[in-house]
Amino acid sequence: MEQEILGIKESALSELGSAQTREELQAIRVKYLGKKGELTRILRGMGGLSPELRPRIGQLANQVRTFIEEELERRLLVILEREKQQRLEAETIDVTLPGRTMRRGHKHPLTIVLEEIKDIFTAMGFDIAEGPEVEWDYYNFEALNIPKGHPARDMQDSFYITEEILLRTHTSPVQIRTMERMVPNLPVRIIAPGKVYRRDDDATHSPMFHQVEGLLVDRHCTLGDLKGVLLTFARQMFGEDREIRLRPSFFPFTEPSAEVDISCFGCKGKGCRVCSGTGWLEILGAGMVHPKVLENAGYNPEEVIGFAFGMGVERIALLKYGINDLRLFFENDIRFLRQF
Amino acid sequence: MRLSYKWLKEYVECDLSVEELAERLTMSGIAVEGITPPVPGLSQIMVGRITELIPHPNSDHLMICRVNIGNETLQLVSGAPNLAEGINVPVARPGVTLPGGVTVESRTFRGERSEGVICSGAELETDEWGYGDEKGVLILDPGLAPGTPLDVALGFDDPILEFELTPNRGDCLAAINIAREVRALTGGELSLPDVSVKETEEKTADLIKVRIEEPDLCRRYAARIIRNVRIAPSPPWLQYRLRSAGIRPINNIVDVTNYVMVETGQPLHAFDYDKLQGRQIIVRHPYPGEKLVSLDGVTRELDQEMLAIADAREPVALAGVMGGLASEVTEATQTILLESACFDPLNIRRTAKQLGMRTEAAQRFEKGVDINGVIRALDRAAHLIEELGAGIATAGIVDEYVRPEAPLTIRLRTARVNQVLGTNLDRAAVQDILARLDFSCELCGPDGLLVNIPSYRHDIHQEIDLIEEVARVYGYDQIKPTIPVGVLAHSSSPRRSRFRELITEAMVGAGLNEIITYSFIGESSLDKLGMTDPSNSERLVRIQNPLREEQGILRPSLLPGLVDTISSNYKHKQLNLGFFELGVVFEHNGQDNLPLEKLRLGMAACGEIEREWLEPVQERDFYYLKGIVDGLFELLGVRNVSYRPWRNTRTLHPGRSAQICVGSEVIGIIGELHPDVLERYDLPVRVVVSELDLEAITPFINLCTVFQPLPRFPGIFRDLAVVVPVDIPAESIRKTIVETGGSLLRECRLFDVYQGPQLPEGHRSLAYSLFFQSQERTLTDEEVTEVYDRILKNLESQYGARLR
Repeated sequence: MEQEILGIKESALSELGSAQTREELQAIRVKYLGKKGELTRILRGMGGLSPELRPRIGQLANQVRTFIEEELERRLLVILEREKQQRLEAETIDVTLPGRTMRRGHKHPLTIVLEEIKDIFTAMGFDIAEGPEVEWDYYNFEALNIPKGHPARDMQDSFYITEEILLRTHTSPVQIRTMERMVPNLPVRIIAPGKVYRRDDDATHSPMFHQVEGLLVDRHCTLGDLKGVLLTFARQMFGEDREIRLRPSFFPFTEPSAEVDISCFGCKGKGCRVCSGTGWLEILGAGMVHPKVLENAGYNPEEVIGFAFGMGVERIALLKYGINDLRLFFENDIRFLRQF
Repeated sequence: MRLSYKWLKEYVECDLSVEELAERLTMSGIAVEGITPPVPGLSQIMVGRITELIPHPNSDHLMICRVNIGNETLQLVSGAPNLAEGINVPVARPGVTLPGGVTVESRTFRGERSEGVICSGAELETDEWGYGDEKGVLILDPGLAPGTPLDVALGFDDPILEFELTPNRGDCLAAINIAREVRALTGGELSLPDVSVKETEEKTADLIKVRIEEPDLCRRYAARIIRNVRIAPSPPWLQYRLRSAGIRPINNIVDVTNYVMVETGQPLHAFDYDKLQGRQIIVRHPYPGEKLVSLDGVTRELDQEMLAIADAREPVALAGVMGGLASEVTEATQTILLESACFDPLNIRRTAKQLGMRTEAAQRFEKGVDINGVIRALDRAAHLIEELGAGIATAGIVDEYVRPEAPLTIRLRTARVNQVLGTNLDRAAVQDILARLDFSCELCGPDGLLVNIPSYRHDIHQEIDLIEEVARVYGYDQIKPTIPVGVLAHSSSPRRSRFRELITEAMVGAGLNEIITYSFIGESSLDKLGMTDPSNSERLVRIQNPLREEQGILRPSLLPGLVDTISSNYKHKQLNLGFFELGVVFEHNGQDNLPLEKLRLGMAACGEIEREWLEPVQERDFYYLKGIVDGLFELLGVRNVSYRPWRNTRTLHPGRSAQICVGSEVIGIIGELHPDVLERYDLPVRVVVSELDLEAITPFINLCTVFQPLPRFPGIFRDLAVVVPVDIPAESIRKTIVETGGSLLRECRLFDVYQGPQLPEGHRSLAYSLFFQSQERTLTDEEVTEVYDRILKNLESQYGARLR
């Protein structure tokens, strides 16, 4: 009897070892542990055993039963694991196929540059101001110390709507409008981005382009402050290792005036094609607000002082992206726009 | 302004290299844009002396020349007729590139080797500069040592500075004043030119009377008479100087006037005295109908605003702009009248611009000449004419100077200098800088200076102008960058700017690409788009002086730019397009007001949405763009948006367009372009567009989010499919459902629209997924069924709907 039980154990173990599926496991369970299973049959036949033998055989049979159940369980886990692996294998996809796209559009490069400029200056405490694109001659010229017949009007041939109304040739009229609105309050700290228009159309001039004007008016403010603000801007816009250089220049509405260059980021100031070998790139005009301009806007130039600057957004975008043709900005070719 | 370095150094000591000087001038506001040699490449060519001349054995016109070039002797073959033993000639050896671009090679002429060429003035391009000989090779000064580089030999080792002056520095259109700038920067000694004149006994005043009829336009007019004039070409040094300044030499007299103009900034004019009628010069406006044939041979109609120089009979010159042909100095001229005057800058500018004659003289008068330099310039010219042996001056000057100009003095406060510049200069340092610029100063109070302004500095009017002078000579680079200190401004950035960024983000997020088009368009674009209409025409803003007709008006709509962009991209075979533009449009608002500027958002799209393998084909059709517009409204919190079918348009497809309304206000349009429009643009594809008036939307924008508690009770979904006549707008059905559903109906989503054979003719099925939920309790089936039935009943009674 004992031998028989151990034999069952042996054969169950060997069958379990070769079982590959849950169905085969079930068949083994039925064969040995089922109602008509081999071990069940032995346990049922225990009535015919002597009382001395009965507990021993019973114990043995139960041990074998537990053993087989545990083995079945263990085997089941193995098979389940393998089946899972097979299923996962079957579910493999080609991860190199393209994904479902979140197809965003593209901002115009000028918008991107403009937003960057705005971010830099708003972080320095400048507000955004706006003004009309079609302006009075007074705001565009007169109030900025450019009277009729002034040679500086030549520098910016204008589009006129009437004798007194024109498309603004720069964003500087926003200086006057803002100061008129603010006077006598201080400080005035604004930048004014926007479209401007000049009667010019060739490879390096567009009849419409974008400028950002900056203005700070307060009780104290110096040319050194202007330099500091522009240096901060240049470094944030073009990189921490940029330097700036101010060259004396002339604008009717600022004095002293300066053209501002940044050290070329192509060659780090050594001279290359981008900077025509000079090591410097001209990026903006600036200066201390002319006393007459402060006066025209209603401030007393003995009591307040200010600086102003103006930059061309296209120029900065050309430099930043290495774009070689101004006209691309307004042709709106999708193959161009998609690059930004 | 062009000026050679040697010429400049005649007036000021300077031992800087030309590059260094240019850099210092540029950094002080006198910008040097370029440095060029008068003729490039001459340093490669050298002086050779012909030591022996042998006839070529195999030619009757070629000569074999032995030429000493310093340390060796070359054999050169030449056919020039003006060769001679002992003369100096320019020699270019093999490998040298001549100014004209030809590279010299070693060649053999009929068996005789030539180790280079002997050059003519034409080959060297020096003939235009007065160095050339029509007969053959250029014959050089016999005193030159063989081997001397040619640029040195001719004095052409003289870089030319090209100045790009700012409009306020007209005074630097004079070599002397540039020299003053150099002195201010380097401290070099200034030397002014010789103006001594030897005069005859004859009195100038007996020979000419000057009358100024327009003293506002001509504040000073001075004249000298030069007798015994001998017209001839100028000597090479003078021709060279003028060339280097970009002025063409004419003859000794004219050249002297131009030379003095470049030197002093004072334009002069020489008249043939014998051609002047009545020994008179009258400075006056032209009479009606008067004309003048100018030096260039063109007959000029003179308007009465202009200023003429007339003799007793008629105008003989346009003041400050150009002389007249009739009184031109010619070979036959024996006596000249030299004019040195001061004309009104604005008048000269206007005349020069009107006639398109921005002559060297006009450019200087426009910027204002030195009224106190008029006589000096006249004397300088007389001095040079005498030095050239070209004539001799009569006694005295006729000088009409009615209202002498008072000298200008400005008070400058040292504290103010430092306050503006952020520097820490003391009074002595400021005074020193000003003195170097020839501004003499007196002390005034504890920190002030009274500064005398030289009469040639028209740009200095007030204290700030002097502060700028101090700053630029002190050096902008000496000023330390600092960060402004002060109270922060209270932010008042316009909402417009914030909305703009939000909208741009939304559009880009929806897959549209931003474009920026010109604000000006042609009226023909409006025609093409079917947007012209007589009632609109007067609302257009027209540009008086457009660059071209296609840019003649300010856009009243963003659609022309958008559709043009679709069209131009489509021509590049880009078939799937989606664009937006954010910008203002313009509307006439009366002659005495600025036009209205309204911010708008325009969109245009065609083709399909770019797709990958997994994604279904999606057309960029009406519903595509409507979805984007609705998404924008949701983002901006704009509610109560409705779409009204819109048939009254030649721009959009009458069956596929709508006005977009908030409440009862129309705030935009959306639709497919009309097939006629597509045809005019030659677009073989449907294009859908929309334009929203952001000013009109602004009052409805609501970016404040109010939190709603999350639902605590489960809800119930029900589908509802109804069959209705096709002409009933889906919006009507939805409205009835939502209104009837009341507060229990949380969601009503249209998930299917079907029209087909299973349905009666002229009907379609609309299927909605309805979601019912209460904030207070768990809804029962019965409650929901009751609402559902009520919805259905209302749909039946209102639209004849029936359940599908």
